[in-house]
Amino acid sequence: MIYHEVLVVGGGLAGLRAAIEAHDAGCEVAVLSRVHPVRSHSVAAQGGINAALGNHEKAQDDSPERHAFDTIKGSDYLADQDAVEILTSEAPVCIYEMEHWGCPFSRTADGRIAQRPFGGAGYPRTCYAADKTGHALLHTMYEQTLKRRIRVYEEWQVVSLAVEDGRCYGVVALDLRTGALEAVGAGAVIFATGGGGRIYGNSTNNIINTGSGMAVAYMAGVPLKDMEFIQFHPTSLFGNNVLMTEGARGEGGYLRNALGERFMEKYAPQAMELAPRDITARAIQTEINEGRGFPGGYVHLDLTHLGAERIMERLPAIRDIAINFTGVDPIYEPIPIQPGQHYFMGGIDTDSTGATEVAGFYAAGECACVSVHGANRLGGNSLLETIVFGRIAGRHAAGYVKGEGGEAARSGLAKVMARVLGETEKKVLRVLEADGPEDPADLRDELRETMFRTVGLFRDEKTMTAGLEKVHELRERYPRMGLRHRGRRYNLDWARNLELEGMILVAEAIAAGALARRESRGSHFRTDARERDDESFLKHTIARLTGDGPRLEYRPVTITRWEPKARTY
Amino acid sequence: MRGARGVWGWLLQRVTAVGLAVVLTVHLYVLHFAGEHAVLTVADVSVRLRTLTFILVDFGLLAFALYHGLYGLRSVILDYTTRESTVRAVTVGLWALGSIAFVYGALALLLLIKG
Amino acid sequence: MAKLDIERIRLKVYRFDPETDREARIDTHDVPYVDGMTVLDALFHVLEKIDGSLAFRFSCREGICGACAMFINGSYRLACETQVARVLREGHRELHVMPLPHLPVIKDLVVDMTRFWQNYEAIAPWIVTRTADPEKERLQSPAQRKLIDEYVGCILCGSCFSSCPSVWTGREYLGPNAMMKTYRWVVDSRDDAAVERLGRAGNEKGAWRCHTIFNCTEACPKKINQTSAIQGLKRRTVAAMLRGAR
Repeated sequence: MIYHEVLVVGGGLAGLRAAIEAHDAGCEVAVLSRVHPVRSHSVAAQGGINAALGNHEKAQDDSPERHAFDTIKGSDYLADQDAVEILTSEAPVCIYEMEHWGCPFSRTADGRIAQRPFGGAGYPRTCYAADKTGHALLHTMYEQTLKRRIRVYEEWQVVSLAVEDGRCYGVVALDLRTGALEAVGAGAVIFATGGGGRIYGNSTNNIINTGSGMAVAYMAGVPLKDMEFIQFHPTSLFGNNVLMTEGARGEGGYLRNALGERFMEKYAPQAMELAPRDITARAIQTEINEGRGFPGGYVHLDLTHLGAERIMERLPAIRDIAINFTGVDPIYEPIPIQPGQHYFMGGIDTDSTGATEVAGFYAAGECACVSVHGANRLGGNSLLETIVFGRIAGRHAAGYVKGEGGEAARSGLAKVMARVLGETEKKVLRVLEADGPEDPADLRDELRETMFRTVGLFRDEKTMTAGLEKVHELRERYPRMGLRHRGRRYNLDWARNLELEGMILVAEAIAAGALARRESRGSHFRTDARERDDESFLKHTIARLTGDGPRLEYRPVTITRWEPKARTY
Repeated sequence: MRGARGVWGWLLQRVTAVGLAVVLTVHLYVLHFAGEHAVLTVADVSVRLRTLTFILVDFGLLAFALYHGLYGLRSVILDYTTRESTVRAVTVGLWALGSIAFVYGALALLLLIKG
Repeated sequence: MAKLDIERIRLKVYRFDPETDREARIDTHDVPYVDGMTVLDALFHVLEKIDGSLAFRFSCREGICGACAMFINGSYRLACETQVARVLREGHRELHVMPLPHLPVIKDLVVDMTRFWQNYEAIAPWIVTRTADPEKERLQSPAQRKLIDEYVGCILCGSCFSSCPSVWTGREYLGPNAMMKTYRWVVDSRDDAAVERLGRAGNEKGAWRCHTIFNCTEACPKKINQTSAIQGLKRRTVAAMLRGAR
């Protein structure tokens, strides 16, 4: 059996940062990833990463406290404020560290890290590398893992988490290239598996963002938190929902409806296009729903007034994408955009050290919910979360392995891993041999369509109930599916449909959480309960998997310095 | 610069390229455009070759062409293997071949110069 | 994109499983065409609706992760950002999808990039500094930043490596990507290891193997000019040698 002191699952920013930290703390570390690390979804982040550096001329008096306040207000007061304070106070340290590691940030005239305005932020504090910030950060992070010679299991897909008596012993994973199922024991396991955007239709996410890590943890008894809070990005390309960075508006881009109006003045007269994402996305959808969009259902992101030079320098990738996918050159024409599913604020329930209720099992990044984003994440805070909490989780996992999770605690390892390997083997073979009448591609398409339509930007009891029923139906149809290919080597049919079960279960947790939350808060907007209800719902939703679906519990939000107030922009 | 190898060799290949461009131009011009006689005799050539300029041009042409060409050949061989011992054998072999060819060419030139 | 008046597109795709097949074959599928369809969409249609055994790599579907570099209708391209309509506009009547040439095939369109990654690692592609990290950022002017701009845009897709004749024949050649990345660090104003880097690249397994064929530059989906970076390495190695750098 393979064994590593610390096993990180996921090769994106959070995973690699955690691996580096655990390595530097003296642990033997390996990373296991569904794709080569640089293919991870972090690479697709565009606009930037927040830190109160005060490098912008208009941000001289910015501070981690102001950053924290913006984040908490942005979260519609659902974020845990102690965690947010960690996030924002660690931000400058983490950004400078990335710079010292060679990250190619864009620069101010005097050579400092350049910063731009972003939605919901009182100051321009979003550090960027043109519009390829995630790419710049991830490649830099990967360089640092190469420097440390950290072992990477490339193209391995985790199928189950080995948990017994409240303690984690490792994972069982499928090596895609050989098709072999392998038990990987570990002193501590850190999940950094990313979000589950592909559970939704119209998603900006990578195709691999299926929420598989959340699902694997959830199926192993680890609860999920605040799953009903799904971010819809205001500006995704019409048609295929490729992300058009918020940085485009940060650089001064306008949103216009079919009448040519800058309609944001009706929804956020102060912040205009730089209102937080939940408000901006709903504004766009409202324009479309009320007939002021363009035929097919989109509005315009207009950059034409920015000029060729600024677009080429600050937004070159956006321009390439717009040209490649729609034939529109943003220098001369406005870009057709629509809201698209973008981010999971919720995830695996962790505390501010990345620890879960299972000893030796940690989570960081989008798959985790610390929670720092609450009901709505501010742009530029997700990259920040990956690095800050990846580092913290790596440090605490290493501490666990060196301390209470040491050799003695792992006496039962071989037995537990053998049991979980046996169970997982049965499960994966059942899927491989499935020859029922249902087409899994249809199940996936129906799930994605259902989630976007029924638990989307605007929600109500009736629609969500119907959506949840549909998810239940998919759950029942899943075991009746049939695969097209039964070989073991690089069998995508197998690997993808193995994940489908988890996608359905996570979707169920989302819909159930949303139905139970009878208020509107941040991204969760109910047309049948339009106001925020702090009395009843200033609390986190905790979903545990039971034999008949999720069981919901609630937990109070940590408030330190900022009492909930009305949220206007 | 630990690890650097073949820098001078490559530089010399560039230098000989420039050298070739110069001497080849002179050579071609003199051969095909500058002659007053319709028909050249061995004696004419011999006389011309006795001037210092032409001694330099023609020996230069011989040396540059040999180095440049053989370096190119070495490059082609090294595209298939860069094993240390092979590289050394190829380099020594080609230098030997080049030297022999140069001596042979030089003797021919000297014969002409002598008339 | 202009609309295409077609209902189906013929897709010819390379199939080979080295463990079970004696030789490769080309499968032909007629795939329903929809506006805006990419080559990756067509491959997914085959996987989900026709033949579940097809293997290919994918991730971001927006041209930034580098997973889906393939040889499509005679050119190196990312399947995800290649519009079917664009291929047809070039005068092709069907799609031909092949794995990256000259790399061992793991299965179908999935190639073994081990050598590519090893070479990348061999050039020590991380920053090396000789001074203690300052409290804040190391300053870098916009002009200095511009020197690396082209090269940090690399997505490590392997197209250049697959396209380079010196890579095909020279099993030990570092290849265009590793050379270009070396140059990226040599010209980064914050890095202090230029001489070591030039030593690693300025030899018979490195820069001198580049014969300025420009295949890499033509193949690069991000339009990076690797060839000019390698030429830069050659110049800087010679300059360092003439300066007597040790």
